[in-house]
Amino acid sequence: MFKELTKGIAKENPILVQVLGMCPTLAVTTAAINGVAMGLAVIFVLTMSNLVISLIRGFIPDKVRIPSFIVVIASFVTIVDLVMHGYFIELHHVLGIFIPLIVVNCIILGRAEAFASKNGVFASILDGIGMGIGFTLVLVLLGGVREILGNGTIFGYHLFPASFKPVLVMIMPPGAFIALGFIVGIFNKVRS
Amino acid sequence: MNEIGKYILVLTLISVVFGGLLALVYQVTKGPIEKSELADRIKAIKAVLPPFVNNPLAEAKTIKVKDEATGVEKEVTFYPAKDKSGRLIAVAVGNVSKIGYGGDIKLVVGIDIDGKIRDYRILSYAETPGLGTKATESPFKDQFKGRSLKNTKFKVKKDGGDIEAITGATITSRAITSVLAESLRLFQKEYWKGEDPEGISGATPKPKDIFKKKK
Repeated sequence: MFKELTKGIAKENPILVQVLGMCPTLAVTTAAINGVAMGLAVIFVLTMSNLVISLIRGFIPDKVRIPSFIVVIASFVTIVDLVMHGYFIELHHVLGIFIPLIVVNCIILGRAEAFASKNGVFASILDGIGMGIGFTLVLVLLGGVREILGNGTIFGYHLFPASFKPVLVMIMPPGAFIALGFIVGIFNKVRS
Repeated sequence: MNEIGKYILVLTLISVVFGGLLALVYQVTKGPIEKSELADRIKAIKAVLPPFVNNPLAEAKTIKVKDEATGVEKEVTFYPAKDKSGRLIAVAVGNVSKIGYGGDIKLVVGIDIDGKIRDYRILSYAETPGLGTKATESPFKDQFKGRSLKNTKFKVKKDGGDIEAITGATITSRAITSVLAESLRLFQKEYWKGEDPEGISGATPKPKDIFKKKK
């Protein structure tokens, strides 16, 4: 059971191994804090959608499973958005722009399809949490690397004297591809 | 038919259940969302105005204008700030830019009665995280303080103006710059009684009648 939780962190990491959810991964990681924010929101949605989908999996015919999953996922994303807007306005200011992006994050649909629709409730919850954590870790790492190189800061704190000229390209879209390429490369090297 | 009927039934059921759930959550969060948006707005208005004794929210005035950049009709709200003697000292203008990189940018800008920008606060926007979102932060934001239509060309430097754009977010910078200029123009039209509507004619920037008690 425990391995359902840990497999998402390294062995089947959603970004580094499954290469899912590239759009938000590349788009939001201009700073480490964005990675944390997006990651937390994804952990919640992924866990909840895995939970519900594993509950109703016996009841959904194969041919309409994808639209069914999307309805479930989109509902949870909207709930997160509404609740955050109503009760955590400060958090919503920081995260608000990422929330709608979660619907199109293929990790969620990917896990619904590959895991939750075939496994029990408890295992699916663990899978959701584990995959979410794995996603978050890589996002924070990627965001951190890009923020340090591209902006000279980490979580908003300045690391270098004012004379430091950041490599601006790192926080621009090409920097996302470059940094992710190195991270995946190093990860694969270490793993093999 | 039987199969198709089953698909329809299942999808309808899921949609109804989750639609209902969303309606419920919407109902529950509607009040808090309105409250927190209002609180946010009040906070922003207070932040961009000098100390005042009246209630700018109660005395607010909303007009419909055509957006300068797109021609789309939109609402602009003026929140007047008055001192103890009832004199108008500054106005917060609630405006929206239609030309942001990620959609509308709603903001409140405080303008002193002599037509100088005090400060602005962005209420909602969807600019690129880490780039366009820097429009809410100090190096970019602070350069607008004290600027008026008279002493500033409201364009980014790339377009031949005076405003230092955010690196990597020229579109956002342009949107903010133009909506601030538009707010200044609307403010002058509304409160300067047409004496110096553009603020560039060289006329005195403090026409007497603006210090009169309003109505």
